[in-house]
Amino acid sequence: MSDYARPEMLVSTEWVDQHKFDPNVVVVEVDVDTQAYEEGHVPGALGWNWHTQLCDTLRRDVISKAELEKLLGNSGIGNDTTVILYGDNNNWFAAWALWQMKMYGHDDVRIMNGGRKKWLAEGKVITKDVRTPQTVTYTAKERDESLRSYLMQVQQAMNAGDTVMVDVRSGDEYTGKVLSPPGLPETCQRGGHIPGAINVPWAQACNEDGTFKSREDLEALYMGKGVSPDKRVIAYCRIGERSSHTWFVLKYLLGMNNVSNYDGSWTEWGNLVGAPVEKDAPVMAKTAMAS
Amino acid sequence: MTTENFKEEFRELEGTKVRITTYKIGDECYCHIYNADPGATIARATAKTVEEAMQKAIEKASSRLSATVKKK
Repeated sequence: MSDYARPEMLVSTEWVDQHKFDPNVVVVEVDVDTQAYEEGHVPGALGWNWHTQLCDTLRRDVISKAELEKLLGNSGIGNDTTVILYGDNNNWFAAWALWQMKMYGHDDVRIMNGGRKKWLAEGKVITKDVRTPQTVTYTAKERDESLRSYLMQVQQAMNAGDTVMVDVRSGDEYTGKVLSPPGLPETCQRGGHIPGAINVPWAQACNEDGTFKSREDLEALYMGKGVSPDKRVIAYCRIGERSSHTWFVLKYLLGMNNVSNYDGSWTEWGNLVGAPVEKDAPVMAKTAMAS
Repeated sequence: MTTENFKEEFRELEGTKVRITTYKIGDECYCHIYNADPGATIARATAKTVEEAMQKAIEKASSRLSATVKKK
């Protein structure tokens, strides 16, 4: 992990096994499958439900500053706490949680490389016991909007052609063959992608065991398609969570500073009246070729 | 308590590639079925044996996947 731009953003399963009960460490599981935590989890780990605790449950938005302060405070997380996030499916929703915590300025939050799958596959100890943390006061910073892109910014970027847009959905979603991943509800009126966007499915950043690919492999994956540190990058998917994973990879593992997550994503764009849509699969975004 | 017999395999159900994960924790066997991409849970089941859990999960997953619309 030492070759990554920010290697401290990842910890190994062994590290978590050794430090999970450290007084300044809080381990939190965030799964796609919100029932997985109840089957058994890392001893001492808390479980956050992304459906109810990591999004605004009334309007479509990320969690508010007040709700984040409440969630973290109730989890025993102070401003100086080291938070280790992990989850199922290549840490998909752990990255979603990390993106929001970074937006609100939490300094020390990291991901357990390999996530839940690696922990289980290694036969490490798990428990069904749910810890009740002591509530503390957490004070979040004002939201850092530079980590997020809104519709208007994406429209401007598309028209200006100065940004690499990375669609991290599957190839079939990208080309409009399907409107949603197999087995999930359709949430948009039209299929396809934002004109000019390249397609790099998010999970290509991971190995079979759930760990992140090496820096060399990640650079080959993204830079081979025109993503590079000198360019502004916007990642998007269907609802913004897969793209938070890609955002993490680009920002912390590859050290790209000008990358944001368009969490409105295809459910916003694909429902807009009159929005331009492409279905073809260009090899390279025009912005990538222009530089 | 640890996870025993953690296994993962890929199959095709209703024309869709899925990832099937099975394992045992304590006296319970679990089966999770995810779409191969992006990896969202389609079905899950618990039973006393892996085979039974897998059969139940496959039935649920097949039902859900057959409802997925494919655009031409």
